[in-house]
Amino acid sequence: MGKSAAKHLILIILSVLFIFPMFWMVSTSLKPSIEQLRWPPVWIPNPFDWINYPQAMNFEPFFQYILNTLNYGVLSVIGTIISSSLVAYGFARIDFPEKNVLFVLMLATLMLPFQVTMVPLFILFKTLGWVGSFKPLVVPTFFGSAFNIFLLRQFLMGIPVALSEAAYMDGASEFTIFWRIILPLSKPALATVALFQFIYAWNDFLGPLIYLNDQSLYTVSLGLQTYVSSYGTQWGLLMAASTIATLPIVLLFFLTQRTFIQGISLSGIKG
Amino acid sequence: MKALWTKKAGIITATLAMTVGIANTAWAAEPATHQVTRHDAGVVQLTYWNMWSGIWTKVVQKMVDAFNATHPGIHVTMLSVPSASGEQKLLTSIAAGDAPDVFTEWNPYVAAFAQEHALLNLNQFMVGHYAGLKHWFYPVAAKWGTYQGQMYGMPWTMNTFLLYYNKTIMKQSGLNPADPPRTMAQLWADQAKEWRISKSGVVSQIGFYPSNSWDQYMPMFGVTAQDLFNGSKYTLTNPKAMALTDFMAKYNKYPYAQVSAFEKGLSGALGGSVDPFELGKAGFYVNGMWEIPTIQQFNPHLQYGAVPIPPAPGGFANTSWVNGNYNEIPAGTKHPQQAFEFIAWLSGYDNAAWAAKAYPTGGWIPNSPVITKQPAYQQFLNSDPVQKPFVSVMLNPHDQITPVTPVDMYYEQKETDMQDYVLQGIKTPAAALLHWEQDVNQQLQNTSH
Repeated sequence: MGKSAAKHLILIILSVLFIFPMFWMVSTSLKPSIEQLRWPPVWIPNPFDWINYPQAMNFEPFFQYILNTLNYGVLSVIGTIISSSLVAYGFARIDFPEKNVLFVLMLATLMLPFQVTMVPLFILFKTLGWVGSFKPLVVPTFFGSAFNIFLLRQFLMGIPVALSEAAYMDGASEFTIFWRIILPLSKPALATVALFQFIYAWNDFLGPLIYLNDQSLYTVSLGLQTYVSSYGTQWGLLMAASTIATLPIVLLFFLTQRTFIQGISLSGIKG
Repeated sequence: MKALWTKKAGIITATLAMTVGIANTAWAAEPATHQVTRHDAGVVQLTYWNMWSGIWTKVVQKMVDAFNATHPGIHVTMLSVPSASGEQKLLTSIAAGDAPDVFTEWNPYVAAFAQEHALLNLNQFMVGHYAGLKHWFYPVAAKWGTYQGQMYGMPWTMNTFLLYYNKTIMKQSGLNPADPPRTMAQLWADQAKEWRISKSGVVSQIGFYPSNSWDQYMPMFGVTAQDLFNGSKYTLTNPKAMALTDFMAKYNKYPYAQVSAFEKGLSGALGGSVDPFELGKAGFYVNGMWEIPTIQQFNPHLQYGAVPIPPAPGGFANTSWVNGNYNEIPAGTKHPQQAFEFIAWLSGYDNAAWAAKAYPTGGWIPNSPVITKQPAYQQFLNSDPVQKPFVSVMLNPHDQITPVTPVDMYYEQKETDMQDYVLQGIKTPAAALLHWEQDVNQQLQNTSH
């Protein structure tokens, strides 16, 4: 009983610590300007002042930024799921010469920070005529992502080989096995990959900064920066915009967390 | 086994993906800008980047629109780049050969970019019709944009810094508002009467606190750029710099944490770009001319004035440290001549009358005395007598800038650390200056070619 209480207490304290920035963000977004950075701080505004929300949306075309980011996020999720699952299947379920060497090479690309490949990639996309559009951000996701491939590979390796062998004996092709047996069993892992990729796209700042040359294409991460200027930060507007920008991620997490939990002991072999 | 992925699910997924893709073809193609772009044959298209945001974007866009309207052979498209990591976008573009034709950058970057051969030397264009540009600018304005004797950044909008004083607080503290401080000693004595700190240490009113940049006090202590940099390394531990830092150190008698909390708390009021002086909570404050429209907007009843920052013994009177925004042309631009024409136009050359009307919309100080003398700018100055000294100090030969080196930004970052050490009493002025000097000299060595 004592141990359980101690564990709960620690968890509660950690939860408060982790949730505090979010609480402060929402609280500041609902305060009139005069209260936003007052000391001692006003923890809960009274009354709630909602004016920052419409003002934040009018200060910049924020809804356009959200739409742009949704487009980027959805397309990059589709690309990542399709490409990473195929590659991961190959690494996990098919034996071919030098498979391990190729896998290590693929993992090695994780060691390269984006800043190292930034300029060569920019030159490549500039040559293709893609700079100024979302193509440099979305198209590469259709060619696999090392982290997501690794994650899916590990999951796929946990699916019993007997399932594939049974399908082989029934005359199924490799793609049929992948599409009709392995992929359905991989829902939790795919959901994880999708969530990670969507959050990455939603928060991506450097990619959109470098490749987008028109303000009407800006994403949420770039848009939030417009509330910050060298002449002062519009704290209330920034917090309101940040709250709106965070909502889709929070909603997504609550909608998908069941999927993660469901797949813990998934197995298709019976008897 | 039941296959969960049926053909139907696959078709639906594919259709969704295609729909999203098709719906986004326009979004993936060349984007529409908010202004009509002219793609007529013979019209040179220029891209122009700057790092202003919010209301400042609109002010600058109007200037660009005015240029486009008066130059049918050139069309400028402006992009406002988020200031965070904006230099990263710029340098990536330059490295990849896809830089904008013009960008506006804050002065500390000029030398760093010039050292990396990322900028065009503007002197090559100052011939013929543009030869007059060599003598167009205030001397101090031209200095910031000049590296190793060549101009790489064309001065555009300048900033000077004066001492604002709150007349009401002066009266309440038994001081004569018609006699603002004329010396540093008088400032120290006067401001001491204006502080309001409760017994528990809570600050409710500031007299004066030197929380702004150390550089801004350089002329008042006779510190010149040559004192701070001898051509090959920084020499920050000189007697004049020490005197300036000693002056700052006196203010560590006031509680640093409480003062910082007070200033930051008030700066969040009324939209986040307001400081304690604008709210009537500080007796004396050093700031630029942009303070005036903010006061007019948020606290129009504030009784205040502005005078040049008073000098210390050995310092210069009626001067200012100066900085500003500079227009630069990246190396590799396809239309350097037209780009130069654009930045020369923005600088007011050939169109001083237009500049005299346009600059006040941003609350900016001109880069040239020719613009200052224009009737429209004189009218702007006369509309509020507080504005005049901000511009009149530009002609003082003792106006100062920070040394122009490739590590200007690093210098300024470490300057903030130095000030914090001194104001908190963590280091003595001598130790803080030495630490700063060693730091920036190391960085200078690291970045030298």
